[in-house]
Amino acid sequence: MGILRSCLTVHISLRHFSKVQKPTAMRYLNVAEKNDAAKNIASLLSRGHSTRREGLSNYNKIYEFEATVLGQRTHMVMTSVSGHLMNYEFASVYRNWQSCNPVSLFDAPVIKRCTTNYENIKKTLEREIRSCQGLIIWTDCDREGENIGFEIIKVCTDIKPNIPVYRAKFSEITAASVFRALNNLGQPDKNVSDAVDVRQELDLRTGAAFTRLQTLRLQRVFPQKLADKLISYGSCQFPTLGFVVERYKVIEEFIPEPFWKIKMNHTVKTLTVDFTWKRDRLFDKNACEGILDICQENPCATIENVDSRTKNKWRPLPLDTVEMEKNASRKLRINAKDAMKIAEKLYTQGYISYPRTETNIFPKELDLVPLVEQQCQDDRWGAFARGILNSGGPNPRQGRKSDQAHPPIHPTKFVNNLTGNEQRIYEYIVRHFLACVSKDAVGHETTVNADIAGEKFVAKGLLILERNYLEVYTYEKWNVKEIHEYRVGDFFMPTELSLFEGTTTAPKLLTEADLITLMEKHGIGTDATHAEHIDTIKSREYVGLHDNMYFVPGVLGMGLVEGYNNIGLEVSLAKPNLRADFEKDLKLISEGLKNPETVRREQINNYRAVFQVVTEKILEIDRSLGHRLEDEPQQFALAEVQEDFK
Amino acid sequence: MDEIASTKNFFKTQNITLSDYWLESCIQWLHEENPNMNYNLETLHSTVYAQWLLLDLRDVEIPILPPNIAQQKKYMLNNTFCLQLLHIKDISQPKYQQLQKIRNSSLLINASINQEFKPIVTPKRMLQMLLTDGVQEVEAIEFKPIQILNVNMKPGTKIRIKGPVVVRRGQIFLEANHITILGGEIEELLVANAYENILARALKLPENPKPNLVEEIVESIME
Ligand SMILES: [Mg+2]
Repeated sequence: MGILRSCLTVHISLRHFSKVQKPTAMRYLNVAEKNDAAKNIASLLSRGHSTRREGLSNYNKIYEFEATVLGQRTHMVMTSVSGHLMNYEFASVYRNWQSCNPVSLFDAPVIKRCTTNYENIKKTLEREIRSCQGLIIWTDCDREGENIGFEIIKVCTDIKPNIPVYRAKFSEITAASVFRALNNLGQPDKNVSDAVDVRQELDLRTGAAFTRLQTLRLQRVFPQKLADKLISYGSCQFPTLGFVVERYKVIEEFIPEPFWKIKMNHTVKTLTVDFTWKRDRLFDKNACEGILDICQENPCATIENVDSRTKNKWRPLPLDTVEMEKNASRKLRINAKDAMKIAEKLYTQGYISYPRTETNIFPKELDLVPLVEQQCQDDRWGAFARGILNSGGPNPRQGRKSDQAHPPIHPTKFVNNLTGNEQRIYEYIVRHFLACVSKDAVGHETTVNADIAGEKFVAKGLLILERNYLEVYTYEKWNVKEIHEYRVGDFFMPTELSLFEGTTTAPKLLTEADLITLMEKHGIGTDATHAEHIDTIKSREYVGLHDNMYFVPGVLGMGLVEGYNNIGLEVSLAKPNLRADFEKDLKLISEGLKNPETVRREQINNYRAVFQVVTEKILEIDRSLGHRLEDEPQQFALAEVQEDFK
Repeated sequence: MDEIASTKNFFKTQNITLSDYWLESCIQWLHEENPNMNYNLETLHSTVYAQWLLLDLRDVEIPILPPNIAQQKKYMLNNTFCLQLLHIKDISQPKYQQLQKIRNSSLLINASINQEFKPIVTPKRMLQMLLTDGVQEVEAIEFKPIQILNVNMKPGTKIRIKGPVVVRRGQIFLEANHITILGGEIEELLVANAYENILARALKLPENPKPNLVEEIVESIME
């Protein structure tokens, strides 16, 4: 989908400069990603003096104001889209499920075009661009935003092929930031947009092909249970579902085993110090009892070593998207999807910086002092913010990741009129910000080593000296652990010296935070899309929530994943390798290091090859699903499998 | 000196108690197999010794261990004697986890995610061997680290134990100076008592007719 050749914009800019002496005021069309963003950017750039009129779409208003662009006083027309304007679709003959063998969907022609419900937005753009001499893209500065920018450019240049196009780059919707963007207009990034196009096309092809294959086949094989069920496939959803199933199986197959250990403690007055046996535990009772016998024959404990040292508990790293999603889910019990939705709203209102970021290093140019100052007026954390300013100023702990586009998530404006979950997310972002620019908590840890008849034991004590960031970061605890004052050579008789019996336990089910950790570790989706994929497998009922917190696979999800894994782990759609490989290629396209056409071709081939293997071995899926659904699959001979789609 | 007496004496110096019947038939068999071979005593000794390493002591039943030592709470073994290894296992780790590692289970890849439990100590390996004199079975544990032991030792390996060494609750408490590995194996036990299959059997999981060798982590052995 080449829309603009990269040299075109340069060429156009030159022509534009040759016309600057034209007397009538220039008109620029400005397009943001959402109406709220357009409204707030217009309000900031006009210092509150924009006028509003209707567009053809009810939800996307038009704001007008005067501004200086490229050193010239200009009239600005600002409107918006509602996310992606266009979508990939198959040519109409391929849309009917019965019309073709799903394998042909890997090569069927696709077109990118405007979805019907966005026709009015498109018409507004077409109408407005006619009266303008320039186009400025204000979509979010991330991969999707860049691609949406090119969709807008396509619509506008179809009307005015030679119109100059600019890209405003910003990470927050604050006055300083939007003016900086306007004064430093750049060019949209075609590479980034190309990566999104390749992803969308591949998602359409693989999604449709495997969804049709699964659905048509399984509806026929399990007419009682699945006759009306759409069994959808997505190349991110399935590996995500795969993680949930994998953990469930870990638990299902776990075999608990008894173990024994030596329990030893020492009580003086009211304080009991528990010592840990250095062998930890043994999986044989006689062996453990034999060693306990040795200890009990000479039970006096001697202190061999006392080690005291400062121990810090580190303040959090500057906040990136994944960390925010995980903490919202884990600590605030707001799921990642809702948290992102709220954060986006807070961003559009100018309260926080752009919430889709991989960066956990504050850039040097960003002055943190005013950001801390803003928070001084709050009743809850104001005093802490003042404390930061009075003791050396903000000192961020620095991470190692940067997406070179956005700073870590931080508050950009103080507000105290939020309610509900919006308030809780804002509060979390503020507290996290203040915590990461303050100081580590300082403690004093004592490690005591004791010996009983040659067996070694250890106990630890912790004293907290300075709570520092913990004062404001109420989401974390650090527990004091008291210990007696021991000196080397001291000896004592244990209060308790006995056998303890325990049993190994299976790991826990995955929480949403765990799932995000796994997706990140295996490269499934991007930080911007984790939450959506998780939400999809929930809404498809492939997984459910236990105790509102732990993911459990449903029978359908379970059977599908087992079926794909039985076909072969190397090609399994429920394993992360295929998708992770694709995501790597997409990154290379964005960075201009790999040709989008090459990636498109290679990836289509990869998935087509898997599709063929799955078709040949689809009886594996029948079998696994039959087992989980407790239903006898309708028997089809292997030869008939190929007949399914003729 | 005649061959039998001399060989018997040689085994005695090795602290090996031998069945006269087995020794005689072994020497006789050697001569029958190689009628033209003229053994000097030294080669005879080493040839018989090599045969003994491959012998299943349970086939000759010469009791060496004092009776009922497993029933005693504490017992000292003062002499030096040779036993045969039946199988070995590491009792410092769950069997299930060890088996998953050996079988390279895909379920292990992400198993550590979300395990909040962080042990204060990392336990060292503790091997436990099931040994026999041919009549009585006895367990022995690696009470202090013994580097010459490893989990891939072949079932049937002959081991010399030098007393005094304590037996508590049926376990010989071994330290490095107590033990010498003599070598050998018992073919019939190689698969059945391979490390992987010992774990699998204990867990009531299917055994592997072609058991994997186990990669040991060196840090878990060193003190
Ligand atoms: Mg966006």
